[in-house]
Amino acid sequence: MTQHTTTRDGLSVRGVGKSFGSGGRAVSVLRDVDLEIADGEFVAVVGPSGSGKSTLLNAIAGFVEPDDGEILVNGEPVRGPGPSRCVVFQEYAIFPWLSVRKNIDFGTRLRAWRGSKQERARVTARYLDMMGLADFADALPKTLSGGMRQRVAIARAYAVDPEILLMDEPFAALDAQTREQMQEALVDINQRERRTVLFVTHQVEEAIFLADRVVVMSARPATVQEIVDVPWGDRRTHEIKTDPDFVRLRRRIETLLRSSAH
Amino acid sequence: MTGADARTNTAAPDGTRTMPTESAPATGRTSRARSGNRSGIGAMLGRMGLGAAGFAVVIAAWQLMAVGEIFGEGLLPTPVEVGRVIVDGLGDGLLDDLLISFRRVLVGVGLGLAIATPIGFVLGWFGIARAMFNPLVNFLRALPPIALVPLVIVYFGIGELSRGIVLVWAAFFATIVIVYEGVASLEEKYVRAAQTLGANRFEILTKVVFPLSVPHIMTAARVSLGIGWASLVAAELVAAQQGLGAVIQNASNFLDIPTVYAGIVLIGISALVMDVGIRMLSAYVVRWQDRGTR
Repeated sequence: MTQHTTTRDGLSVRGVGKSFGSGGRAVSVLRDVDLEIADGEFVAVVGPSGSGKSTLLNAIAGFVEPDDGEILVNGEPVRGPGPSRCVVFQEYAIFPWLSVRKNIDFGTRLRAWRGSKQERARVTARYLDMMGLADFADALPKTLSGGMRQRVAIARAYAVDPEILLMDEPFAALDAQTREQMQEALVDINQRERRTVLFVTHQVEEAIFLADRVVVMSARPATVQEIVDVPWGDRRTHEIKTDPDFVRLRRRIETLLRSSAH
Repeated sequence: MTGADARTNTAAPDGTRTMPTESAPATGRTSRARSGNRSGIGAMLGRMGLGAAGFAVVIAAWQLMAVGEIFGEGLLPTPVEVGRVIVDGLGDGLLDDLLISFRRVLVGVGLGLAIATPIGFVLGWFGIARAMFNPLVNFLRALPPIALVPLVIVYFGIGELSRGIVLVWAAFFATIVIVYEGVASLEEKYVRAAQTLGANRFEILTKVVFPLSVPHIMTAARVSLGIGWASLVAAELVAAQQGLGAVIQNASNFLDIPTVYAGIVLIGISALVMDVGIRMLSAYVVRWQDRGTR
């Protein structure tokens, strides 16, 4: 087995394939997907809608078992879902019966979390603050807007300190303005915290704005078509979206997507 | 006007007036639709007023029928006569019967809920268990608890145990179906979210599945209480010295029709009181629920 040939930290996806259904009606969704994400890197995955973006994320999360290939996190093969790969879902999946604070410390109250009580309180306060939720700590989710709910989901995910954060189109259900605010909030928290992030989106602009690298998937069965480096480093302000280089990059990726979605 | 009060009160919190020029019945509808929220005291009073009006209509019709003697002379007492029997009786033993029935329902339904809830969890959580027991549960559930009374009396006599068994049975089958269908239909996303935060199977059950099931358990409690009263009275009618069912049975032996009515009215009031109680408890316990998803 080639399981431990890499000493590199982060995520390795090697030759992953996945089909759904069986026999003649089987649909191949992923084929021979290779992807390496280094520790601390922010990688966005874009692809035509209906391609295997979310399936890839679900495979990394452990919800879906690949038919071929392997997925390693820090050299350890993925077996089922776990807190090393925390997911922020597209649908609001914060727990409606818990206050904002209790949502955020849900993970740090579980047995899987190793830390003291004081640490838990510190972590919770820190992410409440960082996501601008301090004034809503005791509010119930039903009183929050969609953007606020996703802030809670992001804070909750950072709080368990995962090896990699998986974000499955977390802003897709938000209006354009809220979406931009959330992108900026995410840039902000991640520049301070620097976690490994895999961010699935169908919006090319969002992908370039957030990520260090953009993985362009082909149509089904999805495979990695191209990986594009994004050159702005930590300079992620609103203005770069209208920078000619940004626009050029965006056009290039959109052309790639169109050509693959024949 | 209570109607106008109700309207302004419910409209005030978010500044929207849903039906600005509607008449009183429409106001009742708006306030009911908003009742899951902290609707104003005015709205609540308005609802209670309308509820009382419903009773007033029936009592008035009853009075007319009694005075008109449509069932023959002396066979239908007036509401006032029945009221007097209740008031006098409560000072003279009737209160004991009322409390005994009350306690039987609470204990029986409480036990039924307590036994059925964990079993409902297991059936809802494990597909194999559900596939195996679902037909059986539906078979047993279809049997009216009252049909068990003769057998229970044969096996367990006419004591407290027999009535308890009938009640627990009734509550058990009402609860188990509601709970396991609730558990089986939980939104997967919450389970997944908990898994990626590090919850093990036990933690998912206690920290996600259980809180999500509470609304279903509350519904089950409400349904069980209704069935519980029906079953209890049936059991008491057949075999009991005390309790509201026994009061009715004894009174009918002496053709004491006002007391029969008094027993019936007290049963209705008791069930109503319990229902209001469980609804208030439920509104508090599941206050996190989004009204849109109710």
